Amino acid sequence: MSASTSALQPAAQTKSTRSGDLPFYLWTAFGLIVFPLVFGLPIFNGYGGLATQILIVGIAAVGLNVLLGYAGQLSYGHAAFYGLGMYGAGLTLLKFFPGAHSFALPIIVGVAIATLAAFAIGSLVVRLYGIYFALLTVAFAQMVYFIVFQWRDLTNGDDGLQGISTPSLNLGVVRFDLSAALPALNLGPFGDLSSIKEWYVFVAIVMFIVIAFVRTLVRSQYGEVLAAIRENEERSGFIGFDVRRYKIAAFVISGALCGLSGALRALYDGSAAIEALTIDTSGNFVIYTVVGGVQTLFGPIVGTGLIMWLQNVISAKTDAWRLIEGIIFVAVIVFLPNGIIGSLRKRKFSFAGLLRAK
Amino acid sequence: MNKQLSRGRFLAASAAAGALAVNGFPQVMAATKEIVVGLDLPQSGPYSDQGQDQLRAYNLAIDEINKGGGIMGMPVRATVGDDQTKADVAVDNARRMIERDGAVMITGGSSTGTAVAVSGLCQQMKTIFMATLTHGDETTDGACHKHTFRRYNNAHMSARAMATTLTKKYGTGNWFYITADYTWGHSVTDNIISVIEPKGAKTVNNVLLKLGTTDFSQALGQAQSAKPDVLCITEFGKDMVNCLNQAAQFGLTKSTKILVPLADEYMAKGTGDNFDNVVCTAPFYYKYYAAKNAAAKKFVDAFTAKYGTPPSNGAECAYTNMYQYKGAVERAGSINPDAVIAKLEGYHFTATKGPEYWRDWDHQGISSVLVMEGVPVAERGGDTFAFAKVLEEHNGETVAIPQADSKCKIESA
Amino acid sequence: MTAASFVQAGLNGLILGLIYVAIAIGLTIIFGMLRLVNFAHGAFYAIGAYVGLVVAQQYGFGYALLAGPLVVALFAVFLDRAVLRFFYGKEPTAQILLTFGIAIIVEETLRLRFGGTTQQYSLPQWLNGSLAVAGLQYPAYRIFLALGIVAVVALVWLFISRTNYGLIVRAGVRDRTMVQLLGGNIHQASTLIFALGAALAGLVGVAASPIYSIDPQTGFNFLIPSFVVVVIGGLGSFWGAVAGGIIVGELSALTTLIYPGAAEVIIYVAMAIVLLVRPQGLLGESEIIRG
Repeated sequence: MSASTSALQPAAQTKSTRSGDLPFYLWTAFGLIVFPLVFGLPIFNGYGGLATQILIVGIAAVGLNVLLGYAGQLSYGHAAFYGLGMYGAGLTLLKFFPGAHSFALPIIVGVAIATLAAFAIGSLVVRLYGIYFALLTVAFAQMVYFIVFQWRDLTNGDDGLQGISTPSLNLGVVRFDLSAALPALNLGPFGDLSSIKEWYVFVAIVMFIVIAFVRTLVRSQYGEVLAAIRENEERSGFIGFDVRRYKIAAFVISGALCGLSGALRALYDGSAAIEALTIDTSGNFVIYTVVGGVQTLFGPIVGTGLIMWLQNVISAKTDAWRLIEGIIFVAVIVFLPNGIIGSLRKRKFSFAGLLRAK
Repeated sequence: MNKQLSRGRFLAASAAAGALAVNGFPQVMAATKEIVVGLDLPQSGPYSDQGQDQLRAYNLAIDEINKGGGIMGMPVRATVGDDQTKADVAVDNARRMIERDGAVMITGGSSTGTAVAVSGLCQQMKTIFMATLTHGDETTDGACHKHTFRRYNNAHMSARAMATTLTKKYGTGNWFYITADYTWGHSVTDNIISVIEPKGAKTVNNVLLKLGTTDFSQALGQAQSAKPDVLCITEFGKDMVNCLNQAAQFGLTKSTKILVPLADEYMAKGTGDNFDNVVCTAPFYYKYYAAKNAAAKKFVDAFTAKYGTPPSNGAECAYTNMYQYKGAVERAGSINPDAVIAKLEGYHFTATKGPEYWRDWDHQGISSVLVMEGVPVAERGGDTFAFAKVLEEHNGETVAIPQADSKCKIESA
Repeated sequence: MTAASFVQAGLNGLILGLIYVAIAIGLTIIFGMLRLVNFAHGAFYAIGAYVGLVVAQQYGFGYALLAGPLVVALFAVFLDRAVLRFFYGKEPTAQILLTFGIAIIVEETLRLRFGGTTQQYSLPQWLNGSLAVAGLQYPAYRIFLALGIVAVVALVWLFISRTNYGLIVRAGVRDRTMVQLLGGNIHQASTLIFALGAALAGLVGVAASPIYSIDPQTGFNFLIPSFVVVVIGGLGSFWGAVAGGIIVGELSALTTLIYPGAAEVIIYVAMAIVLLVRPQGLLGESEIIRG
């Protein structure tokens, strides 16, 4: 694992920012607040709903990055956990507890199912490396796809789930119907605040927590051991770390985050499609993560945003959007092995260092 | 965003105006901006021939409408998305069309799988969905929605329309089914079985294969060794073309009577002589209706002049759907979905077929069903699309699902 | 379930397996020689299929069988010299990502050029009929295809085992540096093997398309099963690819008899068992497990 042109080249260590917790979180919150507004500017031509979708799917990319970036293992099977989160959440409202008007319950069930599956699969796959690891994750993801497809009585097979009605978010004192728009407020060039729905606020808060969680994780002793294992697994084993347990934990965390992403997506879309479990979905997560930059906190989110923007906005202008995606992907691997965010030089602009924070 | 937003505001304003119109103030709306319709149909994958032909028909209809002054003076603009016959892509497309482009109506599609998924989203987003090529019962049965209308015949209608032909021509011996493994395939095969099994037919096997299967040799091999009297191919688009052509290579077209419950011009063209003597149903056949109905002839001629090929039955449904939406908006004096829905429900009209109407309680279009029989290429007079002779034309009313048997409950809002 | 249906399924499985063999052999010799995990191998199949389609319509199917592999071989040489050689022997993860990206670019270029619709080859009439095999009517073309693949596989084996180039290749699989020290032109041999492996995929792209029909994604649909084949057989092993291909073909054909819905997943189950029990594959050597 020493290739200098590798897409998994570790970004330079930036441990010095340990004291900068507060500024980091303030900047992160600021970024999440301005994102849908900036995204709506005419040069980006985005729209409120897309910003929400980007953050939802971005959680899955952040999750994959825990495995790909921080543990150094490439999975082509994370669609399984995303899909299980999706079906878990959807089935909770449609079949398991049809009377439950809970917002939290479907998310908890979806994440729990994805986490259990990630533990079962992770325990088996972590002993392998490289192509063998990647193909074994594909194999297990295909089995999950098969089970969901064939278990027609429960999952509707190829037809997926429809009519998952999003319950309102009940916080005791207040109830939020997340599909309601924010109050009208003219923000000049940024358009009107009412073009953004409450869903975005909710998803942004979830994303903030996810970022904080992954940041704490990576900077903890656990994260440092994981990095040591990535750089030299044998030596870490000799020192006395239980390498296998660390790697399984990374796999489970990453699967759980994909499950969270899928569960949110099911509630947001009101449906779950079998295609979410295919290898195409897994491949997309890989593309998002690598393009944005593995081993960076924001890389996967930026990558998700860029590619989903191509897919949803640029697709209106040219049929070649997916070709552009492929070219960007290859160009990043060849020229920017640390991804877009990982390649931003520190000190070049003020928030660049922050963006590439580990 | 500014542009989008102003359109969004305009729509909000016009919806409000529409609401006013319903309350007794017609003609309130200023005839200024445009009406955006979202065409969500397959441009790639096994059903893409059907999707592309629908797109031609939509473009023709929109051109005609815009030349005639648009809808209430507003030009119609289409935004197009390739649904790849995948439910998640179709839903993403529809959401994007509504949120990004301000589409007020979604239409198109070539699969009941995508139709049901898009229907759910459109209900959630309170946007009208004029489903086009979806033939599975669910679209207007168990999965029906207030905002969804489907004019195309459904599987129940096809099976009931073929009932006499099935027993007379195919008989009540051993039946072998190859079925596309999703809502539509299940719906069609179940309906056929429910028609012929009470008459004494036996099902020897029903092989379910995923949408997009290209190699049917395993299933056809089983059919070959089972030696059934009838092979029923419930596949659509290129899947059906592959299946029937491979069945011919296995010698099955000679040894077994073949039934294709739903076919169109592209499938018949792709299978050529293998479609000879095969019975199918269709909601429209250009040769048949152009000879019967002046409006149909005008449409078929315009389509053929513009694109060089006659319209397939899905294209006809697309064309009429566009005009049905136009008519309903004009009758409502508004694009407000509730007002438009009210003007479609129970509406009787004659377009390119005979008299037909929109049923108010499940939003199924009730129009005639054709039972047809394929002819060899040599008898098509140089036009490979002229693939069949019409055996029977059924009144849709007599073969449609009666309300007592339907699972449909339209939402009140 | 009659004996006839087992014979039928066995024959189907054999032919499907042989198609996998021909694709997987390219994949495995490329890995053996270049230590390159090639996720663009399916793209070679797709390019062959589309080039073949155009040539077949213009000049006939026979010319398509020549043009498909030739164009793919030239494309492979270009790819090798322009990009891939910088990634030889690098981390498999980086190689997978790079070749996956190349596959997307190829797929999308084909989509823009030929459209997303499924396209079909029409065969010459004399190939379109059926033959009586073991008392069954069987499509003639599939029989010819199977025989053709057997011949091609035999030729590739003769090339590797009987020619001087083949000697360099076999030595290169064992120890690249040693070959260079001894004066063998390892770079030229690498490029040649890459082109040969790619051309095989291109040839199958033309030859199998009359059965499967093609769309821009076809290549990717064959890619993952081909990896399943080489992993079961042993990555880098020639006869492993042959054995793996037949096993995978038969497994999915016989499963269809019992439970058609499981025909696809069964090969992944088989691969998972092999990877967990004997990761080097049935006929592979044990040295290459670690990436």
